[in-house]
Amino acid sequence: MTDLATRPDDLAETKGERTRRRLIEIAIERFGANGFRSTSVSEIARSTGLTQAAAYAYFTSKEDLFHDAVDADADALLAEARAAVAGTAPKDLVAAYVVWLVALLDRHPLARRVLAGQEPEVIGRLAALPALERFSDFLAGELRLGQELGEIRADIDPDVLAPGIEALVLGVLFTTVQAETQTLDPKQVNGVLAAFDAMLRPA
Amino acid sequence: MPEATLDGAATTEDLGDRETKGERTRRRLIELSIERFGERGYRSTSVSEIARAAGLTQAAAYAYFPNKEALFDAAVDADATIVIDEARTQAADTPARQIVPFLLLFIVGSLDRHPLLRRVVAGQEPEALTRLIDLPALAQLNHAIRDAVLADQSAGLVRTDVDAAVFADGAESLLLSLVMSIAQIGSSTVSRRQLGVLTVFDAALRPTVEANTPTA
Repeated sequence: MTDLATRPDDLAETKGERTRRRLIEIAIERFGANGFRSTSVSEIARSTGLTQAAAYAYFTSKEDLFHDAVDADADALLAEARAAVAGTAPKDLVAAYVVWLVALLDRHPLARRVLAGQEPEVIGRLAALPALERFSDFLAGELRLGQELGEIRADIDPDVLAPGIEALVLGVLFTTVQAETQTLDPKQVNGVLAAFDAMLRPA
Repeated sequence: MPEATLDGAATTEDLGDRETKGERTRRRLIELSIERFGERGYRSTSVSEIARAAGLTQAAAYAYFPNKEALFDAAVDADATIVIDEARTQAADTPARQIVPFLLLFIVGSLDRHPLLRRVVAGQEPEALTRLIDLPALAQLNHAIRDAVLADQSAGLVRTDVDAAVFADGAESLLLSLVMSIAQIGSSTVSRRQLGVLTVFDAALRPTVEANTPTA
């Protein structure tokens, strides 16, 4: 996003990139602990060993920093879930994802805050989060693989279906975090599993 | 003073179609509660201001509802029921394969006119959320989805290896989840998801050997 971060083609991380990454790490931690409103850019900068002015060389605004922090946290969460579901049969993949994302969410307080509806002022900017789009692309690839293996119906377009599944998974995460029901209603869970299964199962 | 001070809620059921004065007052209180709680939320709205708007004293209002929670619950139930029933009626002739996206669009489109329901699905009234899940109107909507699937299964338009009742349970949960997430992040801005959701529910129900040979 900044000139520094997208600089040369070196494989090694430049100093600018390292600083930017460090800023994001600390932003994830602070925003996750105290929320958007109660966290200042200057405290994040200070923890990184920068002045506030120097931090603003990497981000145009606090909203911008928050956006990138959520994106990075979501990316990490999705990567952990992806590792956890590796080896799952393509037709069970979506259900496995939902289960693991919910389970792993406790390790990602920032992502949890957003899903819990605790950041209403800034949530609008997160609809088009790059992490979600990458998740969609990944899902489309998995669906295509499942089709080749004959485990997923061949008459669907993975590129169209994947964003729909992404929206459903996101919706399920929102409800799970916010409904805060200690036990999920097994009738609802079975229904959701059956619906996902029906979407993908060959005849 | 309303005559229903005895037991407003319990007696109203037995009195036939004509609304008694007590029922009318009760309905008016709920209407005003939907409006006031919708504008400013549970915490910032007082029973006395709702009573005043209805031309009652606070004490008189408490003859209809034992406390603020009960009034709020009744208002949320009423507001959500209006939207859900309307959605169900409007969806009556929608093919089963499109019914969930149709309901989704209808409900999301209604939220602007129903700020109280919007507050609840947007997570601003966390206590009310679980109430919503248990709402009788939602169970009726569930049955309408099931019946639409059954009807279209007989017509050969929906795959027959799907259990209609189980699918309806899942569709109901997913519908509610989508309404909540859209109310919160406004994903109407992300059009690839809209087409995706439409496709997902179509894929769940479409017969796998698509009718190249249409049924006679």
